[in-house]
Amino acid sequence: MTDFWEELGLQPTADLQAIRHAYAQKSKIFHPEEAPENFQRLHEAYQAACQWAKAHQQDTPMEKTAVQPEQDNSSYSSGEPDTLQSEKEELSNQELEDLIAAGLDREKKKNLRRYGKALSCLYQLARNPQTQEDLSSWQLLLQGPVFAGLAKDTGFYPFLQQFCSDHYEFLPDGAWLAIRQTFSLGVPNLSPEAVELSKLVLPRCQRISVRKFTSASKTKYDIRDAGLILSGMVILFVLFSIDSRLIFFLLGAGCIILLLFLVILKKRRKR
Amino acid sequence: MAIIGIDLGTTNSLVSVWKNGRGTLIPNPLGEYLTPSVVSLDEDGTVLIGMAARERLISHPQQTAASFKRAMGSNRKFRLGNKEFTPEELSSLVLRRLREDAELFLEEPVEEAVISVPAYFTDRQRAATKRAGELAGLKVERLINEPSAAALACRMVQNTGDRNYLVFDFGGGTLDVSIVDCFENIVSILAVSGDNQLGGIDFDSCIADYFCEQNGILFQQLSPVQKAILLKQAEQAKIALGRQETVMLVLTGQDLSGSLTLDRQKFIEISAPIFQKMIKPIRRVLADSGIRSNELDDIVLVGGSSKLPVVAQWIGNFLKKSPTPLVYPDTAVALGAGIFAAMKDRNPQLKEMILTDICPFTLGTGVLNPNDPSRPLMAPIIERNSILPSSKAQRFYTVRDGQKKICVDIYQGESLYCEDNLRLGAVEIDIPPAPKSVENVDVRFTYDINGILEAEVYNQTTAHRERVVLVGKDSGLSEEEAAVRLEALTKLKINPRDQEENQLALAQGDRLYQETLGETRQKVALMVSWFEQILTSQDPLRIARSRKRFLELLRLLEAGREAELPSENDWKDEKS
Repeated sequence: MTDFWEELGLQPTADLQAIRHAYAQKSKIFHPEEAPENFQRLHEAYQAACQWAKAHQQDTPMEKTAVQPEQDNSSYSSGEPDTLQSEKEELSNQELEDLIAAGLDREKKKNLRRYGKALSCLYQLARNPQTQEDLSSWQLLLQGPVFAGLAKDTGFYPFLQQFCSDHYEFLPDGAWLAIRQTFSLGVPNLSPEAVELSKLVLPRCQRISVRKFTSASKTKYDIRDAGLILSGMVILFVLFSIDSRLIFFLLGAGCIILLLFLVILKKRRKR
Repeated sequence: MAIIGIDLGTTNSLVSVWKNGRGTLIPNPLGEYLTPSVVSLDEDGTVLIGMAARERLISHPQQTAASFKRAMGSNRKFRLGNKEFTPEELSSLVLRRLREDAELFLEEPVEEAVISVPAYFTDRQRAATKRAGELAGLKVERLINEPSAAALACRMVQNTGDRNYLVFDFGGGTLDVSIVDCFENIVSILAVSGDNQLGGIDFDSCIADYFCEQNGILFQQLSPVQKAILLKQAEQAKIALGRQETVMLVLTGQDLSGSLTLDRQKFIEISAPIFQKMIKPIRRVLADSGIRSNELDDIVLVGGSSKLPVVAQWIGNFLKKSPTPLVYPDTAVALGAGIFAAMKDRNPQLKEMILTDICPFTLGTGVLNPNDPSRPLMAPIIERNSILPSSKAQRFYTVRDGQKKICVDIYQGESLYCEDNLRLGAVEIDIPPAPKSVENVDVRFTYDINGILEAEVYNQTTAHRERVVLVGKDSGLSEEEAAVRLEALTKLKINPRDQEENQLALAQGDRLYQETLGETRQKVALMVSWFEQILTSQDPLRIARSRKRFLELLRLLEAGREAELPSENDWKDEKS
């Protein structure tokens, strides 16, 4: 893109005004509606020329003492004649700043109270032997009014994380699963605060799922499969009572073997 | 056939057109330029849109939906009575009404529109907006960013000289901040930023929360009707604080009763978090544009919520420069959209004017992270704040020996890791196997002037090209499902325009009934049934006269001037 001067039809110059004028004139020929590619080239040339000009500024423009918004807002310069301010302005700017500072402080305190309450509810539930393991109690708490809105409050996450970390062994499985669900920790595109929390919660949940899963599948497994084997035996018995010939015995045995086979298949598939 | 410009706002919507050499706003059947973005379903299934629907937010909150702009592009559904609507469908009903207003005003059919969206709207939200237009029978090829529209409106007012503006667009539900550079025929957006979830309704929520706190009520446990009433009172209090020093909220319902005295100082204190959230977008645009706050020529306030004096004062304090009242905050965006519509139409009066908008997000693809292969890194192709239209290409190499294909993911976002950005789609291309880093593809992203992103991948060895055009992820409906919904939408009974005023009056009566108690409430009921009876006469003159009286009576009741009401016989007497 070294021929950006050519694109603009100019000699190299540090005069920003001239560059802008050239760009404006050329844009009437290469309008973005009609000639998008040409316009893009022209615009890139304009940007390059501006950068060149800024780098080659001969005269250093008088730098007004620019009070950047990044600086502390409490340093209010009363020099600027403000068009909207009148003598009778009820609220001075200083007052405005103070009120906002007070308001933020108040909000912070309110939030801390809320967080504290939420965490102590978690603690209470964890201590109670009757509800510890009950996933639905945890879900009820975390989806109830105490926790309403906290999932979206990024300020809460560090507190929750600290709490979970402090009580890592103490918190039962139900708590971890409910936390993961309520705070949507399993999904992609997490906010940075949530990421830290998820690093604590997700691995812990992984361990639970596997255990609960295998124990759950085991119980299901037992009842259903006991039933199948039993029904196989019943068939065999029935067949025997009809006719005790060998072929029926083989048929019956074959049924039982088939059932056992299906059971093993199911076991394998579940794993 | 003119192209109209529409400001589809969270709280209010407007429509305008370029006529007689200037941007002109188009009035609705009530003679207003602002049509509330509210939709309500009547008992018999008739759809009400606008002011009448807004009254029903309080009297029938379960049948009414508002602020659905915030949900555009999401899968959230709104339940109105026994029907469900997506945000696009609700928006399309508002758009349809605006289109009809325009057709009446221009005395010709209107087929195409330019709709404004917040600059910070994602691809998905923009696609939803276009879809809403289509459902309303409008062709929507182009969207305009709201701050850009406002800048255009400003430029029309001050059309000479080089000026730069900081446009602070604070609407009902969103905040957009942008820096615009104007010189000669060029209106150039330098930087944009904003907050999709920050608006005037957040001030209302702050007041409502404070009310609950002071009166020992839990906001979460209020019924929808009570929440609506409280928020409406909060909104009125907020607006009143602009005119008076203190304001008092009094609510006297069962379960929802209490009072609150609020002065300006307290209001600022409880709204502090909102002001705090405004800082980030402002700093962002100043940094991105390279312009310092003292180099700004004008600060322009746009959007209904920026009319709050405290907002203007806060900005003036923060930027050490007071805002300039160049345009009306309510109407600037709509006017700008109308102007832009004419520009798109290549209207001879505006032929030379150029609005260069920018892409508010970085677009790129994912590349291998050598330190952690499970977390690919973002490789930008079109940087944030690149001008539109934009077409950029980059070359990428294979990472494994014998790699047979390359999958080019398309991401949108500013984060270093792809997992923290938004995945828009992907393009796959087969490549001949070779040792790693030998084979390569040229990936070209093109963002055209209509905001459509096209990704093209080209491999030199095979001379093969793969292309994908991203039109925004669909709501997941199949072709048939979409057709069914469209039919259902067109079959909806919409309240006829000439009934608008009557419906509004009735809705106001309904709302007042909700808000009052005891004897007052009975009076309201009497008045409403009287007016309803007159409506059945179908005599337009009689109806108009009675409506006027009805509204006057309601007004007295609402203002607490019950004592001034004439006796029942008197106000029912139509001869007087």
